[in-house]
Amino acid sequence: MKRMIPSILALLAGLLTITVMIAVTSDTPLSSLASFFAKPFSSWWELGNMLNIAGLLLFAATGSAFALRAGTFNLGGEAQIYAPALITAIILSSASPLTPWGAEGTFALALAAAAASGALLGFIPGILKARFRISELLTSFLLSAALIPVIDFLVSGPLRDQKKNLLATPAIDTAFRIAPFLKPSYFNVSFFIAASLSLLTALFFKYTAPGYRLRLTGTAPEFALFAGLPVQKASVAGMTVSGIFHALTGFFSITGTWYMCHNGFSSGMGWSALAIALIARQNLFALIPASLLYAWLQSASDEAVLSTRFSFDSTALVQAVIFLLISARVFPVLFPNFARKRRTR
Amino acid sequence: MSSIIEILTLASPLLFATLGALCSEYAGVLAVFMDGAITFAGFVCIAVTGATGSPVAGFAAAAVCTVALLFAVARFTEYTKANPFLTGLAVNLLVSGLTSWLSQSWYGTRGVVALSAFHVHVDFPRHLAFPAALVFAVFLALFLRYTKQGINLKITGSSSAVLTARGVSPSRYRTAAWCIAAFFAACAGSALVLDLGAFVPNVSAGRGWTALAAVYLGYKNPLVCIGAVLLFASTEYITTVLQGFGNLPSTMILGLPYALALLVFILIPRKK
Repeated sequence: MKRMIPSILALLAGLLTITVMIAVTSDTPLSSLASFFAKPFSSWWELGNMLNIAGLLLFAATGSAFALRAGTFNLGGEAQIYAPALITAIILSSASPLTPWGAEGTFALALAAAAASGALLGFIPGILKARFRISELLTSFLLSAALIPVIDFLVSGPLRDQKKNLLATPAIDTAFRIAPFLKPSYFNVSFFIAASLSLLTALFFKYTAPGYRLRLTGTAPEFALFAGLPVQKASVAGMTVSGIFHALTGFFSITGTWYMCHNGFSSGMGWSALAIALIARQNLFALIPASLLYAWLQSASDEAVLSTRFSFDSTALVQAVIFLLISARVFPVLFPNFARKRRTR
Repeated sequence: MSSIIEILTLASPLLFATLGALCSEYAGVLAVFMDGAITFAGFVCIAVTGATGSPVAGFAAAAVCTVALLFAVARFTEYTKANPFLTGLAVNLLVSGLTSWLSQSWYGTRGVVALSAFHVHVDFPRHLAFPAALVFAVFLALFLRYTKQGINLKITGSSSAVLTARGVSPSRYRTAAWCIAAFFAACAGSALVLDLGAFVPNVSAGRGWTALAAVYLGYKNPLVCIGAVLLFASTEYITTVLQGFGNLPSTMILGLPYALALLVFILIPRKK
């Protein structure tokens, strides 16, 4: 519980920041704040969509946490979500469900292609770190930042649905769409897949030998090196698997929520996933509640901002506060006497 | 000749950013905050220039506010022993949210804030920006080589234990490095927005990250960094020209600084 104090403080600070900004900004602060706290639970539509976002973020957050566990930092989440989403949209919008291998076969093919693209985008920074000792912090971010404008160009240019005014690819066939549970919301089976994968990943790290070796390599690379463990392979594996998890967010965003890849749809999802992984503080069992809390915070601030007279990037502010506080030892600074007593006890 | 002037104009904000990233790098802090700091400075500069009509006041306010912001984050990082990489990223996210909020509340838009909307016209002396940046680069090189404080700053990142043993606080030097980087970010941000005559969201357009690449390409030497910056600026100029010919889509241009920086990180030789 003590280890979770920075996470709780970071989340509370994020909540407080948004509450203050909404109160200051809104003409009707009480009604905006009421929207903030209650709107995400006010209807099946709101609740379902919040849970759906939590599920999508959970895939990528598991990926971010996987990379952290393996001793790497994946900052390329944005493109690792966006590129697989585009690939999914291209395959499923151009394929017919009446092929010999059926809709399921095409669906599986799109999933494999999306996962492969995510894996590749994770593998590149991983291998650059392993082979050339180039920080994956820089390469994963730069690769992502370089790719996003290219994908934007493809979505709004050559791959755009010319029949519509949207900057988006053509919609995928209804046969490839994942049916929602809580209509009219988009909440669907992807949430449970994400939760299962997250738990399986936690069990992998806790109870399996490869998981233990990967964790050890991430926590104490020099010790792992002396123990004869393949440290370089661990960073490649960590980044590659992280890329695959991010790709699942992209894949399920298209098949379960948007049904088309529109310009800039992944904006902020990669950073949100990293924020969730940091909130969970590498405890993979805490990823599910952290995703739910974060999805509530994001949905609530979006709703409240919509109810004010103008909009602003509330998600970025929440992320900023979390990133600022998550690694800080605020508690010993605020309560030095309490911390000292605990140490001497 | 006009091409050379154009390249030097493009190089000036990047050179300022690179000098800031270099100071931060010496202090052992990767300047991931540089992109956000440039954008923040640009916003403050336009806001104050628009309100007062004076670009000097705009630059001064940008410098004071950016230094104050990064000083606060640096002290917080030091006091709480937070991860400077994460607090640096927080600066970028904070600036993204804060500028959109302030821009919307003050000007009713999250888009472009032009000086013409304030009926202010600024003749930015473009030809002076690069010489000014050069003077700073030379000054910084001399400071790092010949002054006690400069030498201390240089070893803060690599051998902070030596400073501690000599009774010097590495924490103070790290904080100072954040502040120097903030000042250079203010120079870069102000040069960008005053030249444009407007603030554009994400006005830094990856220059903070390119500056990090230029630091490594310049082997962490302020004078060699000038060459690295000129290389980046030349490439940017060529892509702009190609865009003019219609050979390159404008959206893709946005990714080029990052792609180039990535290429530099991959290609520069590393010590064994």
